[in-house]
Amino acid sequence: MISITINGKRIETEENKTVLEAALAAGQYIPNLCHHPELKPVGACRMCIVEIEGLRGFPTSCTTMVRDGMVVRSETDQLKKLRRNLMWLYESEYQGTPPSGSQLEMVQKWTGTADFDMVHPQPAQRPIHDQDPLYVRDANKCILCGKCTRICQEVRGIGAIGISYRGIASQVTTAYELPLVDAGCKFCTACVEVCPAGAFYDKAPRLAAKEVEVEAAETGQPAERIGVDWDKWTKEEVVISCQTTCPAGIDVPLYTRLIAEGKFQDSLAVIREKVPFPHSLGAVCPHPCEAACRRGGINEPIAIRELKKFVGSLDDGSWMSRLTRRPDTGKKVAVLGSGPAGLTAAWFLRLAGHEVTVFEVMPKAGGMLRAAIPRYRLPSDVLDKEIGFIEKIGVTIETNSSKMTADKAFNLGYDAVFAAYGAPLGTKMGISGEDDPRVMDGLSMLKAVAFGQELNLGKRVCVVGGGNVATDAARSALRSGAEHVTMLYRRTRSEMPAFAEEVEACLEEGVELRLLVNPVGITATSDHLDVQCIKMELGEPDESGRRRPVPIEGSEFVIAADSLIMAIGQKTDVPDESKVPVSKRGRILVDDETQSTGTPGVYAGGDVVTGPATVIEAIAAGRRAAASIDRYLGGDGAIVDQSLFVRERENPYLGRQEGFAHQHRLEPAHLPAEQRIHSFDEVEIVYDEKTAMAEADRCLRCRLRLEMIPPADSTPGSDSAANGSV
Amino acid sequence: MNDRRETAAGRIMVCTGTSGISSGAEQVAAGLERELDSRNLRDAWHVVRTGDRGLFQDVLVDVIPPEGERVTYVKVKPKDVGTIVEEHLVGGQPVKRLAAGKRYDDFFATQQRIVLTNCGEIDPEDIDEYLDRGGYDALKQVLAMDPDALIDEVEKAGLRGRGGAGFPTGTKWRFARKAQGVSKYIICNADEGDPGAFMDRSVLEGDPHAVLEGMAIGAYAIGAKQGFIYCRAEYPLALKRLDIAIAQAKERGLLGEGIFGTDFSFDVSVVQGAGAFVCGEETALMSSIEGHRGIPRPRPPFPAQSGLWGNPTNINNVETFANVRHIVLRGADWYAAIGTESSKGTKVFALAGKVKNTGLVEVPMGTTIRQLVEGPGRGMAVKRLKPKAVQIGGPSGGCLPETIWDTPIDYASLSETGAIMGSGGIIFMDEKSCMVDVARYFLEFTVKESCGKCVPCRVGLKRMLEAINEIARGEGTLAHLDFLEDMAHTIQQTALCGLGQTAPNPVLTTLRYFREEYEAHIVDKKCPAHVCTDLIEFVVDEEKCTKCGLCFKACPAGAITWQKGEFAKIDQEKCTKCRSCINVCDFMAIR
Repeated sequence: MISITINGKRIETEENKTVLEAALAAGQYIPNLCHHPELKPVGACRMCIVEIEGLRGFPTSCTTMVRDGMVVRSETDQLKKLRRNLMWLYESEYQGTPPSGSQLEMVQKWTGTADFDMVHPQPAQRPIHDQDPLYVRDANKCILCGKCTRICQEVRGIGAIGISYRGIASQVTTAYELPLVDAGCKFCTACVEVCPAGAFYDKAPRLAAKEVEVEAAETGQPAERIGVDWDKWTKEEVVISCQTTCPAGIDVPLYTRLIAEGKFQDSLAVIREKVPFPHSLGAVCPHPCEAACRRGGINEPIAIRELKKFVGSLDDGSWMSRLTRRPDTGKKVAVLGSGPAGLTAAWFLRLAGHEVTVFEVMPKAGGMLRAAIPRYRLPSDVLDKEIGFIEKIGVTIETNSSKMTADKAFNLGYDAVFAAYGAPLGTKMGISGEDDPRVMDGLSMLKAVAFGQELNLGKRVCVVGGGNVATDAARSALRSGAEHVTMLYRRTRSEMPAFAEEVEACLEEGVELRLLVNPVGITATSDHLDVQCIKMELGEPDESGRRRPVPIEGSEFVIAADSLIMAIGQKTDVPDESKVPVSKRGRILVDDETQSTGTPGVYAGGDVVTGPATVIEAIAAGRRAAASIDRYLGGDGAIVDQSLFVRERENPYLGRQEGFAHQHRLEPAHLPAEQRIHSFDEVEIVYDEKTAMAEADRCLRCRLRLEMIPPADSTPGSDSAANGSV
Repeated sequence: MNDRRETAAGRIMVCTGTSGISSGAEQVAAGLERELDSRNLRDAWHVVRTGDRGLFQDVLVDVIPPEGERVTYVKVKPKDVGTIVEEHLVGGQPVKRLAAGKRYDDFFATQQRIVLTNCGEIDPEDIDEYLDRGGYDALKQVLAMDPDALIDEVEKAGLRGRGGAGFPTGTKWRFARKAQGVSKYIICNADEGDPGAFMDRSVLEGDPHAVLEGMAIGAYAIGAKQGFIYCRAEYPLALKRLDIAIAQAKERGLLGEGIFGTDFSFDVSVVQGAGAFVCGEETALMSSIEGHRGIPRPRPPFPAQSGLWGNPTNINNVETFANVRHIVLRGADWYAAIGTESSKGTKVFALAGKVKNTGLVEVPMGTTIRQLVEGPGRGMAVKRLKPKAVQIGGPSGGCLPETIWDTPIDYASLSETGAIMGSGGIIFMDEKSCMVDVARYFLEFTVKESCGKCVPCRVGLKRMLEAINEIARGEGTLAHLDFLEDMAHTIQQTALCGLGQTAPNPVLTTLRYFREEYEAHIVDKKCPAHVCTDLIEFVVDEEKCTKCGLCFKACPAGAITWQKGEFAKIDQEKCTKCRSCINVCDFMAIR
């Protein structure tokens, strides 16, 4: 350690530090714009000039190394005057005012600006590059500190941008002013992060999801502002929007990177920190993360679900040894329902040391994963294996159980209850003739298929509805012997709530899609059903934002079918004696944060609370409930946040990769349609290693930006800032 | 290398540097060869193409017969070749009407040529001509010396960098010698960029080995094995002659491994610059050699500590290196006896502007500005116009009024005036030059040549230029002058490199010495030199008009009417304000 004096204050510092670093570390602010802790000093902005005894002129403190006994002054009248003049120069070429909170604004407040109103600056008009994905480059706000180009070159090793032209015409550009996608940019947006002047800034997050575009078209809102409440998100949440949008908060950036690095079991462990169903989720998750994935703003989002499925399929259980398992507490928890919500809660509660019994009325555990999702999407053995791990840590699952309630459980000696009954009942339309046995609801049909029950659908099957249950039912019907399956949907294809890929698969497999059609009655005859339909047109948007279908008078027609499946909705089935608050729609009312029903020791989550929703939302609810129940039972709830992988600071080097921005999403192979409709074999073929790694490598590594060393120490502390001098 | 050099009895020299060639010297040289061929005299006369001797716009031919006196011919045209051969070479009678006269003698009379000693005297493409005149003797001598003793000698001689800043060369070498590094480099800065300056070009074209020898000596002193010459691509002839010189020196073992049988090895590569003025700044120059954008970086660290690729590096200018061999051969005391207390030796200047003789002159340090004009310059070009100012040091230099032309040219004295020695560009101006316009000219240059890295230079110079433009348009206020001074000092004190720090000098010196001229623009809305178009009325001042009619002849727009014996008249309707009339009028009669 050596000591130097800054503005009369003696400070201790290490050698090999610059005067600026030493000063900032000691809380002696020296205004600066081109300095960044991760970059080599260049002395370009001239703001950090100081006076040093024994040295001529005004050296830049960012390029001057400390020496023992050095005497530095950073706020003399002369320095203040020079900085005011320099700030005037910056402002004379700057269009607009610096963004609030920007480094430039802070420096401006510190230095003040000279007043040269006798002259008339003519700032150059420079281009605003706003046609590139993800971020805007406004050369009219650029102060040429060069931090963006240096971070891109020195730290990221990419060199997509540099300073072109000379003198007053200098500008940050890509080589030959190519669009960013052609210039080697990898869209890590480190440049945006370091820009002190608001010349580089993020575009509003853009979601790739189909729904967003539909909604945008219908509501006239800009597509990029729909789906995410952008204004309420923090910058961190926006930057890693994949993780932010995951209901379970899975560390998507990390597990994707680990796949790219070939560390598949580590990747799996990261997923398992939050969810016990990696492979199942990989098969069926509606992947809100992909809709938010920033890569989607360039071409297509990362196939995050597919990657999860890939590592899920390689699960060798090695992560088990990393689990934190608390000693037994002697407390007992009853979980009512073995769907994803119930089993997730059971998993974390068992890890917390509680004795957990899951009660399932069906013959096998899994809930809707088992009963509603067809085997060609989620094979039985996948589910069996993942439920097997849950049993392996000591969760007891009682299948074929009688219907349990909280009271019964307390009577049996349980200390807490998690009600995760799901929404297991299909609904019908309430039209004439629907009581015929050949008319069934979608869930009953899928459940029958799942448990191998005899189904006599006949050759011509009609499916009513446009959601995932409808597509599952249609495709399952094909695999159960139907020769012609017709889907009837009252809106248009773009309003169908089913995943786009499911609708596509239906069409590939020969399902006939009849849009803007709604059944209004059924006439049962001895050998078939006559389904009376009416044509629809789209009217004004309803409360969901979708345009309301309106019947076209006189457009009635009849479709002949051997059976009709109504896949138009599902509802809960909460036992009347449950003594929990229930909504008019039959859903249990809980606190959003804790999943508590208000009755001590009774918690609920999953579809029984939300109505039919996604697997990942159910898992998230199970995890929240586990934390609450653990706290209720005297624990700290921290078990749900355990780490199965040691985080280290990422290597910030990305390197140049020609054509990176143009790499398209690698879609998984599918069984050919003509082959797959004859069996319940899994349709989507999991990635091979090479494909998985290549797909994961498309990731923009957005989180690297959050790991950059913040220039926090380069902002004036409030005390000294108030004085304006030291 | 050239057989005739030894066998031929007579010698004919034609100055074929860039200046000579542009005046037709190559046609004269080729004509001479053809003429000698046709007369079967080719083997009797050795035709030598030399570099330029310095006097411009002339084709110089020197005839050195086996017996009899050397005769210098000036302004030789291709058609004169036959006459020279016939009358002089064959007939033995010099051609009197072509022989150099007083103008030529005056130009050289007050010069002391050390650096330029070989320029115009030897064939730069023939190493033997250099060796004949003691070439590489200094290097040979040095290799027997202790490097520290060599550095002592250079320090004692008082040699200072000729690139502009004037840092003591020996001291610089000592820093580089003491610096620790795996490899060390020595660089010759031949990126001569000042408008109107051509000292380095002439030395490289006329005497390239002197530079190579100086570099080799420097390399030995500091312990470098590799040298680079950073020369601008706009100097194709210099580049060509350097390449030839390096190849020949290597062939003779004067560069390369084990020079003069010692274990000293030294190699030189030429790197071409792309014409950015700032690349003459040493850190920008090194950045350019490394393959990066030519932009400066802050010093320290100085190149001697961390230069090219982070290694200890010594950079000197062409003229500095060309001095070195003379110091070695003739001793530090001899050298230190030339010049003044603070500035030793000679300095080469590129004389330009409104003087009779323009060209390259080498005079002892301490020669006054007035001596330059009246000696080699032979006085102002237009006698009836008052001498007004001299611009020394190019865009980094200053503008000094005629009243202080008795200032001796040395580092210290020039610095006091607000100008700098610079690399040697010197431009004389008479009363037809507007000082506001001169300041604007140099600002335009530096605005264009600023690399853009730091804000004072990038933006500050532009803002100053805008302010000067407002003044030149008659839109300025006296407060503009305060702005100019304030901003000029800010740029001087905060710019990152020498380019920016010195760029305000032309403005500051014109403000210091010619403030009333600025005020005339601002207060009276007049340009006393009749240069700033917006402030000229374009009317004939009958008190000054001599009715000569030159303006009438010069006007391309037919806007001037004139008849012999009458005042000229300008038709404002037709006048395009092109200033052709003002340019030809030596009586300042158009205002």
